[in-house]
Amino acid sequence: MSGKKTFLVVISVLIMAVCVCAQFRVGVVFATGGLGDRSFNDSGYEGVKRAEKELGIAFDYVEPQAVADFESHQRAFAQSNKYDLIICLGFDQADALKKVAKEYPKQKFVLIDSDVDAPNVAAILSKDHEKSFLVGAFAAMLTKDTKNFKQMNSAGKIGIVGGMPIPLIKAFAAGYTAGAKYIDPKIEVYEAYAGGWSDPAKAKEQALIMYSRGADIVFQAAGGSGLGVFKAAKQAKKYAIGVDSNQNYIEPDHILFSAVRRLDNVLYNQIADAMKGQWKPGIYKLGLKEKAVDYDLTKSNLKIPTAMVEKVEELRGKIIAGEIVVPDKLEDVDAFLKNVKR
Amino acid sequence: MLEQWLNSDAVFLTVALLASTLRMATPLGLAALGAVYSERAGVINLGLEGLMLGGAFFGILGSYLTGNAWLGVLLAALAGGIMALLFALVTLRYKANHVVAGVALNLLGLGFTTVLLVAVWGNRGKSPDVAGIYPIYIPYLSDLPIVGELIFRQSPFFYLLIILMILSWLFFYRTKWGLRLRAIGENPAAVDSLGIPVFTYKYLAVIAGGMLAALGGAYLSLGELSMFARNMVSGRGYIALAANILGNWNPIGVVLASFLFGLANAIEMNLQLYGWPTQFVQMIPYVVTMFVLGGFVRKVQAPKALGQHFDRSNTNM
Repeated sequence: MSGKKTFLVVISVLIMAVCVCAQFRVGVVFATGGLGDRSFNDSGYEGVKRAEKELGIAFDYVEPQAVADFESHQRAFAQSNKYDLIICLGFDQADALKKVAKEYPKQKFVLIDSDVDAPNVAAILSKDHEKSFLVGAFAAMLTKDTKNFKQMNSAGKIGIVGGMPIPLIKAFAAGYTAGAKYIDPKIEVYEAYAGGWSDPAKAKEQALIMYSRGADIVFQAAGGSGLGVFKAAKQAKKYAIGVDSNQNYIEPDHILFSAVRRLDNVLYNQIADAMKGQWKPGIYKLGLKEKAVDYDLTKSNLKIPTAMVEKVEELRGKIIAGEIVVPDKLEDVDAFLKNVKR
Repeated sequence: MLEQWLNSDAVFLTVALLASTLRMATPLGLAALGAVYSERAGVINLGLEGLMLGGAFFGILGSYLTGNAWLGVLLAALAGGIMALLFALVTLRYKANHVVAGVALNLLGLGFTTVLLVAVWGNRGKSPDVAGIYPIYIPYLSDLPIVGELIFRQSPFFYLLIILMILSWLFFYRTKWGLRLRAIGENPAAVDSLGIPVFTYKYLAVIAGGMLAALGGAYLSLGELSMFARNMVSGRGYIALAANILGNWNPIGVVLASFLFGLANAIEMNLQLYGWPTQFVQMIPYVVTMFVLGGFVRKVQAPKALGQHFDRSNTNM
């Protein structure tokens, strides 16, 4: 009798051990902004966390402090040979990953925001210009809505503060400008870059300058620096637009909505695909159609008029149907406006 | 006529530009003043960045715990003093290389403020909002055209900077203690031979420098944002060090140099809105730094014993 019991215990321990070994393991190398940015990294973390809960994966993560650290962190994960999937967040991991992916050809990698072409890398780009187009369209309508929003003026000016003038962030500016001018060609868009991702004091000053020149709404695409834009909106009693994750709760009386990217969906899907053996390398551009980007009105105390939401939803439909192809470069905006059917 | 001119766009934009200049310059000026104390005593202070970050964090923590922003400023200065004491022990007592110890202080500043951010508020990115220190409007004077808006509606930190600048100048150039401190930076052995406690002066100067740098950080957190964000000093410590060199280790000079850097920053931000190429415009503050240091560096004179270790057993008197 006791022999049988021991046998059962041994078997169950063995089964558990096998489960632990077979557990799907994911390694995450975050971008230098680190967790707590309430934006890019946090949104990715949410997706992996959801996969942990719903798919039962295990994961480890590192938060490199500098671009120079990426390579050693990626290699450490790959070398351990413990991880089924290694996820790298941020365009500036690309150079490191080109090297590391070649050294470990059997290791599967996911890279967010850059296009490394390798047989073991799924490189995922987000069509940030599409969500920026939608919030730009909103902004163009709202900035003239002096009836519902007491603090708006009729100058028809809006702004965007980016982190750095790199193509990735310029795509935000391009989509935003195109969306605003699609609604109203006379809208003027101020554009400035803080020169870094962790300088809220400077981004605040830049937004204040825009507000003092008549802008009502400033969109931020500046990571941690962008928190300064919200402070400026509060101080100037104006409006701001959040980015990447839903930031509306930070200043619910001043943030109209956020242009979110659903990095959580993207990472969750990547992990799920890899578990099912359906994971494929390649370069993917995901936008409104794939639900990789969106806007989020919840958690703000400001109510957006329904007619505007309907108009923007109509635009979403046109983008998904391919009737509107949003430009991702500022120099293409003029041509877009000339040729687009309204 | 005058009315018209005062309300013109050009005046409005210039006043806005100069107001931004003062806001950008205030933290640099406070930290650069701190550098003057430390470096006049012969200790290179590359750790300004870390000291400012420490000040930024403890300013918010003090305000968070007590609900009083000025107690936050006090805690910031205390924390800056303690960090600087650590730096002084390492460099003066244990004779570590000043540059290496300074870099270590910067890394320490970033690391421990982030750890404390998680420990206190459970968030790696930012603190919650706390009571901050807001600009004050000086009665009557703030209603004056142009200067009223520019000078008399500033953050209390700006006035503090001006007061500390004047007091520091008086200290260095009108008191015997200031004279001794300057002498220590030039030739500590000679000062020591007069029976003056060289190390006491050095310790106190480094600590005072740390407190001032921390005030610069507290301006950024309490005075600008009413919150702490990770790594929010963003390189201002290094610019402050450049301002200290450009200002020739003179309290008035370094504050003026800080205004120059603040102006370069403000011009950069404004030109961006006029559609100037961003990368080009963003070089301006750094080009100004290089240009000015390159053009003026022959005229500036660092304390002679800067960065050298003073050891009484080595002096052959």
